[in-house]
Amino acid sequence: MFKWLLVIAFIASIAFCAWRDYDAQRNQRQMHADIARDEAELRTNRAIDAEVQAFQKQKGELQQRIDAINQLKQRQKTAADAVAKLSGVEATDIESVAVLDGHNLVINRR
Amino acid sequence: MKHVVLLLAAVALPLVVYYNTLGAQRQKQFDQDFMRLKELNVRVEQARAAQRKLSQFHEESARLASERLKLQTILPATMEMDQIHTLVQAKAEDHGVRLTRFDADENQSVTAEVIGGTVATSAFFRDIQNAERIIDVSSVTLRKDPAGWRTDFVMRSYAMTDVH
Repeated sequence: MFKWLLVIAFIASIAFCAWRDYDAQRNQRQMHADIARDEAELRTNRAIDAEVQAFQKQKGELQQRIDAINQLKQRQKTAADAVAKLSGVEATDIESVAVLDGHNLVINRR
Repeated sequence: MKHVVLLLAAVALPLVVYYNTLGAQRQKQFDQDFMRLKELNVRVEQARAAQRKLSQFHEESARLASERLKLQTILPATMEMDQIHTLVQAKAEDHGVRLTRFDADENQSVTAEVIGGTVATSAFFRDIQNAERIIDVSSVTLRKDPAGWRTDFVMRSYAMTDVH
């Protein structure tokens, strides 16, 4: 009696697998049909599709460039403020001046 | 107990074999097809939308192209050192400072020197900061000069290739 139960369980499990596989194949066929339909539509609208793809690519590149520019601008090094400070300093005995961190002055006097 | 284990094994064995062989292949194929279909769906929808509003799409394309051109001036594809030299020279002349040195090295940084008063030199640096190209100014040192100050500095500009 148990032997038969074992055989039935085994066969039921195989049947389940077969059903799953059949279902997967059915889904796959459906998906391939959908892909073929979409590809056919894109072939019909080839010109506009190419334009849209080029547009999307350019848009991506543009965004990349905007991000890069923003980043570079944020960490841009400058010396304008520091040099401007120098106009308010008595300069007669100054030998040299160095700009530190873009904002501060290190003054070497004689 | 032994019977339960045997029963579970009888159920599990085909499932384990299936999901690790054919089932895995089917899943992989499904994932690939799903991604392809999704991508195609997006393209189809985009093409339909563009077709529906063709003139608007062309306007948007033209706007994007002009925006791209503007940004290419700020961050060009290549360094174009000559353009930077011309730009710096022009800014120096605008502010009445003299550009006496402009040495570009292979690391694409430039060792430069200007001579002029503090106000003019500061305005020159401010203009460089706000120039159409992004230019870093560092290693700034100043020495007295009969014409005001002799300012040595290093400039570094960028191209799109540096960013990648």
